[in-house]
Amino acid sequence: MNAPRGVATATIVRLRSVPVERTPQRLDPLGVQSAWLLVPLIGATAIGYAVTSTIWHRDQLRSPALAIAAIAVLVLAVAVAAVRTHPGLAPFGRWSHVAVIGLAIVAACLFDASVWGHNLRIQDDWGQIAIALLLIAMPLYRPVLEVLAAAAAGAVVVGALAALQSGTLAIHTGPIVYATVAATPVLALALGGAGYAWTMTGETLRWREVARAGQERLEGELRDTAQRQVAQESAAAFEEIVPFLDGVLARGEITGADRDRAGELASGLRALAVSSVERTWLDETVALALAGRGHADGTVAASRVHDPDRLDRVLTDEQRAIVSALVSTVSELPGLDPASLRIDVAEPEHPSFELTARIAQQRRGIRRELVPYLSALRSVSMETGLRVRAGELTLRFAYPGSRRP
Amino acid sequence: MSLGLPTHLSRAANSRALATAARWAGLVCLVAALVNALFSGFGQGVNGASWLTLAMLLPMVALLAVLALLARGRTVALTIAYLAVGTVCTYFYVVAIFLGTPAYRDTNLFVVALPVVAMTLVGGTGTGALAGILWASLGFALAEAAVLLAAVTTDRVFTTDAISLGAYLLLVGVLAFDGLTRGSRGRTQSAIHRAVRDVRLVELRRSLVADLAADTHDTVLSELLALSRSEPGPLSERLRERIDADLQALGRGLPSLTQALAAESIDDDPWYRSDLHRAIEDARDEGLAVDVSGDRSSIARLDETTLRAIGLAVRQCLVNVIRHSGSATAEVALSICDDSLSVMVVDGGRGFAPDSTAGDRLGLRQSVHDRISRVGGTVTVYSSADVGTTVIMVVPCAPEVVA
Repeated sequence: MNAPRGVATATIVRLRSVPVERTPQRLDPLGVQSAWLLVPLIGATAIGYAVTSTIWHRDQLRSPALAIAAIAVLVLAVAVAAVRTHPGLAPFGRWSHVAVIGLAIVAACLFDASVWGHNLRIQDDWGQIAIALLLIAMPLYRPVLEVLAAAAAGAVVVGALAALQSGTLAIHTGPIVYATVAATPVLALALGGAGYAWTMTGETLRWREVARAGQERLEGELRDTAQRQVAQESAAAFEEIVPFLDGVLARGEITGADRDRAGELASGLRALAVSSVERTWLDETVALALAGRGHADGTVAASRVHDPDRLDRVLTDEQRAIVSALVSTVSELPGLDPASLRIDVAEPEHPSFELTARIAQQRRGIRRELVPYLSALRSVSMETGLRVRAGELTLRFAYPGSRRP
Repeated sequence: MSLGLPTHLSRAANSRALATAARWAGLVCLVAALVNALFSGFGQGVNGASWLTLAMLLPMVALLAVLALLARGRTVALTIAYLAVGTVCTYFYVVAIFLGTPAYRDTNLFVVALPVVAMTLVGGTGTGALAGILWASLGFALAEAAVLLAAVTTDRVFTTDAISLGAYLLLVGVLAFDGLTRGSRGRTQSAIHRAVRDVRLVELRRSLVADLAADTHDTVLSELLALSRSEPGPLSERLRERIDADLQALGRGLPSLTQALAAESIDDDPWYRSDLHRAIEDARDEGLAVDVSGDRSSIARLDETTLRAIGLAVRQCLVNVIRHSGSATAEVALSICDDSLSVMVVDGGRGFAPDSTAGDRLGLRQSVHDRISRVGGTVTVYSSADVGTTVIMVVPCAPEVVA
């Protein structure tokens, strides 16, 4: 009787124990979403500087074709960075990071090849500046150590290339000096970005502790609210039972009609108890959201949520908070037909949640409202999808590996 | 458990983080300058001039390292010291470079740019975008002045180098971007903060419903079933006792709901309907952890006008905590005596001078003082920089009705 139905405990443990990366993207997804524009702006600055620097080098170019190829590769790196860091495509993963910095390093190498043997100064080359500029924003998305490793790789490559050119440069000094000239911007800006991310995540973790303590102190207040709500709801169930029992007690005898009535009341009460115990967290959340917005329409909440395996138990507290906020925001959309809201949950191995509703509203407005939550869900290791077609809203969030389209 | 920093805390945190970022980057520049000083000199290896150049920078490195480690501390005095020491160090460092390397003809050099960049990246004091930009400009100007003076001393040509100018513009750009975009998390974050409370409320409800179902199963339901199976006729003594016990239990409230049944329903409770409760919930949505202490039911003794005035005044106090205190928590304490109710709003953040006439304190004067005095109450504000702010509002209320 007590064994969990449907999804196995092992699955819950497996899906809940996803390691948390200490990155602003993971710990403060909304803050990072608001800073996204920085990435294309910095990328544009890098491209602008690359073009300007190439023009400065026009008399030192050995191969203009290589110089143009270098800029093209940089444009590709910036495009990958800008697209992959967009809130609509979060999270920005390790391979995107490797691709962005890898492409920037290739671009720097191509530029050095285009001026090889004719270059006069290292300090006005653009390769190291472009790598450095792209690295500034990376610690928002990737762990500090990973970014520092990428920066070290970039610094070694541009440093080595600069040292190898020492024989043909205008100012004569040791190769180590050239290497530091090239490597310093890369290391400085990467470490700067890392310092920012480390401080921000530290502040966020500290605040989480304060928030957790505050939430614990709120427990009494919430318990009081819950008790009153449940008492109020159950009062209705006892409304008919109390006078019936009173009557039987007063008469001191049982009639045939009493027997039938007792049977009816007993089965009604049992059905109510079973249905209220069987209501899942998701059922209650949908009911709360719709009731809060005055959409309570008499539809039994259980029929809105189809979760036969009770897969909502897999969601962590953090995911539940975002899902709850998402459901509540959907229920507040002005064009929503509240009676049509349904959530369907499937796939016990990789739970997949699908919310559907009829909606009379512009797609753009819906996206603007909902994308921040979907992005936040992605930053807590879920996959998401949003489709608005012919007045039908379909919102999907699932654990990676889910097969549902 | 919740996601992300609330907007009101993210501003200060962001400024501190940017200051730290700038200082770490500045440290890299100074370390690069040290490496350069050691290894420059036409590959002759380390010589006396190198050591001298290097020694010139050490005080600057030490101060910046301390600054970088003090992200949360008070850094204004240290920052000023860093700028003063940095200017002197930059001057002697550049002089030492030019004396050691006669081939350098002008100041447009990477090795010269490094301490200038480190001076620019002083990073402000973590107090905001505009302050950051002003500190960076001051650092840049002082460093350039030191380089100019060093060029004059050693008879070299002064030219502004592109690197330090570029670093300066980059820092100003990032700070300006931050100033324009920071804190725009708005509604999404409020919705998630509210959802964190809802999630817990739903959990508590579910566990109560389960307890209630178990209670019902053991009591009323089993009696109803017994009745439905009984033969018509007199009620057995045993069943009568059990039904009687059930009815008494329902009157008292089932064990799972003991505390609740006596109270009014949520919709009728003056506390839950009050502006005061709404003000507290709104502040919680903003990410402020608000503790409420004292007897909530005491507000039932206020008349409607006074209750509304108190609600709006507390809202303004909490808005002030969010906007100005930098504190993550606040407390609203209610206490009642014979004919007055006092409501105290306490935070442990940055205080202010209560008689200050700054525009941002107008809210306190107008919304709090004026509202409360209109309903015959008084407001006392205690505030100091270290301890935070306490606003005590005392309003008249009806005497307690003895039943």
